[in-house]
Amino acid sequence: MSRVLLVSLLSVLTIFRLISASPDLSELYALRDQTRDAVVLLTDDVLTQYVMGRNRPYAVAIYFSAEQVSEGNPSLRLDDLRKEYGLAAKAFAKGSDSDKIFFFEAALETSQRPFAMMQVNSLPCVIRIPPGLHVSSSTVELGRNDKMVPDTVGTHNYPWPAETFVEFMGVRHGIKAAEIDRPSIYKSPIFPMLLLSGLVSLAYLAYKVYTLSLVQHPALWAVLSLVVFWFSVSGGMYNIIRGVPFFIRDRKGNLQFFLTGRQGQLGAEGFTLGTLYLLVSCSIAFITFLAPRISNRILRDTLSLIGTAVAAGSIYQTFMLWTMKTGYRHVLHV
Amino acid sequence: MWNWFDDRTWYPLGRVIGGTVYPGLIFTAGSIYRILHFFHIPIHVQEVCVLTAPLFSAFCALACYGLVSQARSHGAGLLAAFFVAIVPSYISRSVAGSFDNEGVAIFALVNVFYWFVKTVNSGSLADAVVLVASYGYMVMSWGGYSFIINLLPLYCLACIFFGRLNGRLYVAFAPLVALGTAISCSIPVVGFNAVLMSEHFGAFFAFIVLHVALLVSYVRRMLSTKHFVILASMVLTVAIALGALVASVVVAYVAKSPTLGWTGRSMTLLDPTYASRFVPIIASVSEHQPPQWSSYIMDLHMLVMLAPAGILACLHRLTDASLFLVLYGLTAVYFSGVMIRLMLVLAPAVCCLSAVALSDLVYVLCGSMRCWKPRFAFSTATTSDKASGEGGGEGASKASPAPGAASSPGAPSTKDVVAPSTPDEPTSVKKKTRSKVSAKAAASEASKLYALPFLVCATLLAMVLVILGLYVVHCIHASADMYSSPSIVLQSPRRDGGYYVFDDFREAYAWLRHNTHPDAKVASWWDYGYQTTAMANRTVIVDNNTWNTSHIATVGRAMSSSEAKAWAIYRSLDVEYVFVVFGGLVGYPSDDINKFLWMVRIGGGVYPEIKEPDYLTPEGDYRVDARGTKTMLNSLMYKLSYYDFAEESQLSTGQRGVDRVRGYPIGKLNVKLNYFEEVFTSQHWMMRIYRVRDRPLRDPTSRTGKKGKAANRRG
Repeated sequence: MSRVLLVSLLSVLTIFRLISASPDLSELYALRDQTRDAVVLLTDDVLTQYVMGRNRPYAVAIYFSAEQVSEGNPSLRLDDLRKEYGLAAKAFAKGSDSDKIFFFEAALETSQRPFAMMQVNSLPCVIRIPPGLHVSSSTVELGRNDKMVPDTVGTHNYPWPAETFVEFMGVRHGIKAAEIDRPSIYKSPIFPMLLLSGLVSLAYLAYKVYTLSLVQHPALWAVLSLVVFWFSVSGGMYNIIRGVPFFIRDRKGNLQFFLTGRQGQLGAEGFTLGTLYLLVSCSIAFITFLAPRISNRILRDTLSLIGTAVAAGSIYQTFMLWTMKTGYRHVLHV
Repeated sequence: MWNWFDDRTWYPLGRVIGGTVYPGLIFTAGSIYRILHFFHIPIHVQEVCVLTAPLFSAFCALACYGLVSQARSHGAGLLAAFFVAIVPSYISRSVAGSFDNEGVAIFALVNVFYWFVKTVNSGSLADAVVLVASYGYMVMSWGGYSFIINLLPLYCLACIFFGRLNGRLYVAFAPLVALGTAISCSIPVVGFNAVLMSEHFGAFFAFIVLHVALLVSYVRRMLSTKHFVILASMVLTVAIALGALVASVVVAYVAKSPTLGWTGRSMTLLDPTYASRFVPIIASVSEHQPPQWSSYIMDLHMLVMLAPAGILACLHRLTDASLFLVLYGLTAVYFSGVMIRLMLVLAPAVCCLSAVALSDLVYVLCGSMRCWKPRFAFSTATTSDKASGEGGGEGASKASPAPGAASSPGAPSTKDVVAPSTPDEPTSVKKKTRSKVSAKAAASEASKLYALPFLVCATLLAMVLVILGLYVVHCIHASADMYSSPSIVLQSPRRDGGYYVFDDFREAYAWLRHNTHPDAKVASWWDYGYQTTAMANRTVIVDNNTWNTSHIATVGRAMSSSEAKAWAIYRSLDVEYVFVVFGGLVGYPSDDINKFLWMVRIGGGVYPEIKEPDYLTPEGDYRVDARGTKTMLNSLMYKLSYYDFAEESQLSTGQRGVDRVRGYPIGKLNVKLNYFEEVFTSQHWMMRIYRVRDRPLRDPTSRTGKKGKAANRRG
């Protein structure tokens, strides 16, 4: 009888211990130290051992990821977000409150349980489970303040930088994090040397190119000048500053290159006009400087005729397009 | 003049006129007036002001003639003067009655360039003195002087790069930097900006580089090659060490300021998206918008098609002066792409370049026609510079016309084909030998020019005449249509051929002048500040001299706030009258409702409580109809604009509450004012003047307020 009692007492104790005892933190530390960026992969074991339970002495942050989503939607920039999440995790792991919050990543490929438990069906999603929240195997209701989704955090600074994660996960709950250490080439000790050697080699290269005397050839500069001119008179700056598209589609789905009316322009129409200007100029320059130097008479005559035709045609076309755009006509005011 | 303090603007701050305006224009008009009166020519000062701009546009034509004469030939110069005399872009600032800085500044700009090129060509110290004086005048006249102080160093560096460094360049450039900077420092509005702002650092840098380059060439001449190499390596080591030190100091200084030491307008030029992100007060001005392609052809007409040919022509026969023209054209065309206002700077440049292109073309055509005889060609002694020799011999290798012997030149743009000179060519026309062409090059690389076919010449000449004619027609049209009417009186054509005149602005300003106390303060958006000061003769809060952003932001904040809050702001500024410009009844699009977002942005830039999204629909549209946000429909601007509008629009157009600019019914028809009272509305409702009540109407505090709230809730 006493034996039975003892056994049942022991088993009750064991069960009680299993239920009430806090998870073994030292193992979790070890797990965290093994990872690259202090984010522990959330397998089923890890989930039951460190996340589920009536309460925990630490908060839990879970980043949800799915390979197929991040590959299928590069515009979501989930990889960038994951990097920032890792930076935030590292900052907490190094900080003075490293035992108050742990970072996990729930990958759909590893385990689908966390997704079901937290009812996550869209990405990006990062959640925070407060220490006192009871996590059972059924679904868990999280407050709005514990879910980082575009609705709660906003998209103006998406992908959210590590600072946002630190603020959301820790600072507003009184957990301190260390300074976020972004890997950067500027911090590397060899950076000044790299910079210096880069500058010196650049200067040497520039000197070499300069002595080639090719760069002093006017032809090169003529082409460059024409490009600058073409870009500017086409309203290229307008396109950049206003972010206008090159062309649009009208209601029927046809490509539309020209906006009629004085307001607005499309990229294509400006560059068309710029090209026409250059055609006029180049043919005139050809007739002025090159054609008279061709000694073959037939060739000279043909080419100069072609040049004239191109110049006249381009001028005519320019004025036609101008009229089409603004309705402008040359009116005699006499 | 320098310490003239104007207490009638920018109340309660006032404005130090000497420190906030470029005094060139005022000095010019004043001196003309004084001189005329000294000779007992009794002319009113207003007439002097009206005629200053046309007079200086005439001077500008002369300066352009001089510039192109120096760079190319007198013929091209005449053509340039002709172009610049009527180019529409410049006419906008040079019509009689336009009393604006640009009126004299464009002349001053071209004048500086003329004297600079003249000094570079002549190397005379007297010219350099005139150059410095004209630069001083330019600095006095316009903030655009920073264009010069960056273009000239650029030219200087380009000269060194192309190996065109000589003493004449030094005579032209060095005194300009040294004395010119001293002169700019002594003009209060520029002051120490001339040495502290990064815009001017380029000039100092070029100044140093010029000295170093001259020193190096001097030392190289004095020493043997071996000694020179040793010396060079020694000096280089020291220089790199010193240079790194100086560079780090400069970088540290520059990095300290948020804009890296550049003024806002210059930042806009370097980074075109800068203003739209950070400086709403610059971005809000319509002149600071980037131009579309149609602006170019409207403002420059066919010059924009000819200018690239001018660039090619200048590069084809590269001289010091033509290199300058190319650089001027390129920098100006880039900057004009960022800001439509700088089209003014571009206009003289394209005039000069087009003149060079056209004059070269006409010269070739006329030369061909003059000696046109079948089967004969004309050759000249004109040479190409050393540069053009690069492509020599690639094209025509035989002088006699043989079928198939000549390969066609590649790109028509730049490859220069030089035929070897043969003595058996019969008719040779001696082209005018340019002074810059060295005799040596002329002897060695004389190229031959053959006559073009008569048909081509005749067609092209006719074409040139036609486009010149079209240019004149267009310029007259532009000046008659766009720039001949005063901007304060609007007109719209009537069906019977007459004009319907909208004289609301003057009507309202006259009302203010006659019906308000002379000491009354009038608030409006800053666009109307100068007009209010001049035409209504009342003290204004802000005006077009936007020297103090936070004061403008205060007015923007008041306009964007609710009525009660705006009332408190205006009371704190002692404002008695507020007016808004409203176009909704007659369809005048540049009214305050359309400018309102800028007020919000400028106000929000200083007072974070004003947030732009509050005034936009959730989709990000700016609307004042039923979909407009509550903040928008409660803002003072909305209320002042649409007060009693529903009834009036019902009467005049038959459509209740339909705004004719926006083209939809407004959001809130029943606008009540408790803190302001309407005192005057002009004939077409384009200007509405309100008085700021001494104390708000009594009822909003008690019953009406609650009722109003309840009604809002129900709505």
